[in-house]
Amino acid sequence: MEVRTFVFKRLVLLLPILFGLLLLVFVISRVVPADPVALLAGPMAGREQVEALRHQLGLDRPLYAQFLSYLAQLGKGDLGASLYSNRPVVEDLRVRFPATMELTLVAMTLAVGLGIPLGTIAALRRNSKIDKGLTVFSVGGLSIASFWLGLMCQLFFGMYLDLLPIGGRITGTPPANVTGFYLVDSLITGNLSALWSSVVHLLLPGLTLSMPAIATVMRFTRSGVLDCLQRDYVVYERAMGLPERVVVIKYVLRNALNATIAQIGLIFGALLAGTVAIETVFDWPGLGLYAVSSILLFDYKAILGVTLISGIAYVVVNLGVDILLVILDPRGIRQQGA
Amino acid sequence: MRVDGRVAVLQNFVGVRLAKKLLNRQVLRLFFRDKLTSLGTLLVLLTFLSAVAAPVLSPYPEDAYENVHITERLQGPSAKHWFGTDRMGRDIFSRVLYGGRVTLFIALAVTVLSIAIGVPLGLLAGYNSGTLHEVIMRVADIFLAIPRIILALALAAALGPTVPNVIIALSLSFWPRFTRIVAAETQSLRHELYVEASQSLGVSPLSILFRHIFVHTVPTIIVRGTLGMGFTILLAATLGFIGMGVPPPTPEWGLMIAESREYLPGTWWYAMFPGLAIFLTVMGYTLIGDSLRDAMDPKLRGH
Amino acid sequence: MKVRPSPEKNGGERNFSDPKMNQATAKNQLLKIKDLVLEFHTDRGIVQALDGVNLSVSKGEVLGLVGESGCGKTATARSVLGLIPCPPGRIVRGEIWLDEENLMTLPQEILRSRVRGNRITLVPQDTLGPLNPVHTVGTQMKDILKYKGRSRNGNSDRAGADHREILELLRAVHLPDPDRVLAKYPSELSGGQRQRILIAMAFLPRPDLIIADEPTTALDVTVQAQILRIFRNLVARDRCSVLFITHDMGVVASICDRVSVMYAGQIVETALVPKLFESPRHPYTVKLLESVPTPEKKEISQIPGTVPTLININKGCRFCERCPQRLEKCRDHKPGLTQVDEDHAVFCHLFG
Repeated sequence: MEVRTFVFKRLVLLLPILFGLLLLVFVISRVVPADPVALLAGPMAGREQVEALRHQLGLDRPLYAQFLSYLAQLGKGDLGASLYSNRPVVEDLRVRFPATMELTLVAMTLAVGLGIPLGTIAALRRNSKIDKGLTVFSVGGLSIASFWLGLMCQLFFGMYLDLLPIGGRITGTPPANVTGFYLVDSLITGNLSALWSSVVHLLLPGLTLSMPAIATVMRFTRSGVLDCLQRDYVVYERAMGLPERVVVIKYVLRNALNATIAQIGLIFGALLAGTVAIETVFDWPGLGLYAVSSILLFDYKAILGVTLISGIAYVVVNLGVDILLVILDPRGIRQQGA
Repeated sequence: MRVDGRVAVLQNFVGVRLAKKLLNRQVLRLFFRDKLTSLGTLLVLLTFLSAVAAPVLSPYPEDAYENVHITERLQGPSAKHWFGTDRMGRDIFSRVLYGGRVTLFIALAVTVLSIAIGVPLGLLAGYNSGTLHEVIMRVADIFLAIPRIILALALAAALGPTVPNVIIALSLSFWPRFTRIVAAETQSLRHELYVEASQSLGVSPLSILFRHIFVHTVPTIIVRGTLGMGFTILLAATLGFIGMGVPPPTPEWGLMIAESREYLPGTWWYAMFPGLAIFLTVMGYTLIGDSLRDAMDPKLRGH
Repeated sequence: MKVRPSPEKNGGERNFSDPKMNQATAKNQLLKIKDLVLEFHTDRGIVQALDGVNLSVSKGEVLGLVGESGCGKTATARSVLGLIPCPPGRIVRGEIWLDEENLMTLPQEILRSRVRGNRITLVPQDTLGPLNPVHTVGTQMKDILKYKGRSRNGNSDRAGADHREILELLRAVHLPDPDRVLAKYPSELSGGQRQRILIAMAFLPRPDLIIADEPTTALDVTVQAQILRIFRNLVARDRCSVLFITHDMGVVASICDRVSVMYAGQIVETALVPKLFESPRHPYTVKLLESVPTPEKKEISQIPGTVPTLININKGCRFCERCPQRLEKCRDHKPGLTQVDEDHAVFCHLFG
């Protein structure tokens, strides 16, 4: 089977999942005991006014009708308007999406960039002091509440030492909007002070967000490498005198990283989830904060929008990971087709 | 405490026979295999016992829920208040201990409920092929496609922030993981020879499921459950931090940390100690979960 | 598989009637293992894996190392390559000479960069395990040449020359359409194809010594014959030495010049192949040859008893429990070397 067919098949399979996701969230958001319309209308509104508002918003139709019209709107690319700001949800999402993505991607890079080498070192120096230390570090990283870590770092580096900013994406004016990613935009427009400011603002949130991910990647890499080091091909390659770095990097990691890369999708999901808490701590204007506020306000169109976008992002990343895996190790589909 | 000391304490709590059964050589060897495992066991025991004994150990049990001592608010750690006081003047040490009760209760309830839902579904899905399998696995996939916290948040928001609702919300996001792994194991075990032999002898599927297949999935369930405890505690604390968890004045660690934000940077103790409690508790479960996983099946090291 | 050595087994380049050719003269010896004693410290006790192994391979010679599973053949091979993990292993004493160098004195890094893969290569027993599953066969072969091939100074087209050499070797092992094979992953090839590739890889860096660890055990008999033929041709072409480990006397007959018989960590007899088959001296060798089934035999003869465990084993000859001709002193006194004939040595009290 070819890579193209594989991708197509996977895409097709993902549609029902997205559909189910939407259905689930729709049902949940409409099952809310509190009445959002009453809340919207305010405490002074009388019964008729509340009902009129409800009719105006189309919230008095039966549930399935509402869902169907929502789907129809979706088809046209319209995610509805926020109950409160009256801005189209798409607009809100468009502004906030890059903020969260930038943070998540930075955290992901840290996780992979630090986790893989550390995990490999731990495996190569199995049971040594380094390995034991790294294990403690990884367990600790997983056990820490990331928002608490963020808060502690804010306290220490921000408030006590006054070394790093305690919130926001940037101090001063942001760079001209090309992609919405401040790092990219400042590079493109050559705005060095914006670049520096963005980096400095990304440090604490990025690090605290990535902490559990670094730990997870480190653990997976370690066990993957340990597993591969016991395989026959390592014995053979060493017997034939191949240099150790070639054995480890070219032959072992290529095998070991399969397991780690397979986890990247899940790790991405976990990072996305983590942004909810981290954005709250660091006042980061992204999807996480948006999700929390819309849930607290029962702004169901916004909730649906956020769920949809994070669901899509999650699914796209997973698909990308699967494709990457297939490229790295074609044995899987070659044998299926052959 | 040496081994005999522990036996004595347990005897008071649990009864002689159960204590003797629990403390046989194998169990001891399992939970104290090496330094890290022992640390994990001790942490779990410490947090569990302090939670259970909170009413006894707290110097100010009346501060646990609603109470106001305006004159003593926001004081730092002292001999009178080991962990300082919060914005209502309540003793933080006592609240941390009681917070342990709340958190552990929630975590245990969530784990038990998730296992109760997820495992039977997993067994069913793994044992059958065809529509039943597909339906169950797709439903699980949908729940798994949403990051746990978003789902928990939405559910908690929809149902209202109370302890039972938080438990339901967290369970609904946890059960699919059990279903997935149990289904996978059941599927592979289904084709084992002894299962086919039993089937041909006419043994009822339920009996096969339980006696042959389920029994083999128990180690995996235990490992996942232990590791899940840790993660559930973190999730519950995060919900509390955001404001979607248990409502005040319940002493919940995440909630306490959220309250402290207003008063930073001056009142570092307010945020530090509850967070430390979270860290130690979760670390204990993670260490034990890891160790159990290595003990039960070294091949599972990756998961 | 015939038991008697067949006359057409080599290109006729070796002449057994010339004693000088086969004398173990110092100058002619490539590999010499002297009194190698190896033990492993385990939970259950100390395993005396090798008990004073003496072995030598001359230049251009194929020495067979024959014995049952677990008798120490692979341990010997690993020791030569310096791959015994210590702990739990421990080399109590012994010397391993490759030409003029004692390998045991060399640090691991020198062993890796100058000996393994350069002067000594390995043909492993398993065909699937040793080949890395995520890289094509071509990549793996190129890497062998890249890191282990003899340097070609002044050759600007290194990659091209390497490629040609690989193709040539693949043809020599009778793999049709070498370019297609190079693009395949190990799991896409058959066991026989993989074994040919592993053989090719062993010859690629033009080593002085090839250690073949039961390379045909995993294959069926017909494929086995083909592989052995290919191996013989390559050995003749390159004039390298081979330490051929096997448990199959038929393979010994077909490919080896000399053979050492091993039992439970001790060498019991060493001789030229024809001599060994004609007049085996050591009781174990006799029994071993007798147990090969041929059409004339009505029963399959066995050696009663089982291989002894190597923990707390007796100090003398390790075969004595099962030996039909054992003497009093066999149990506690290790037999010394008795030269029965020129180039036929036995370690047995019955002869000296």
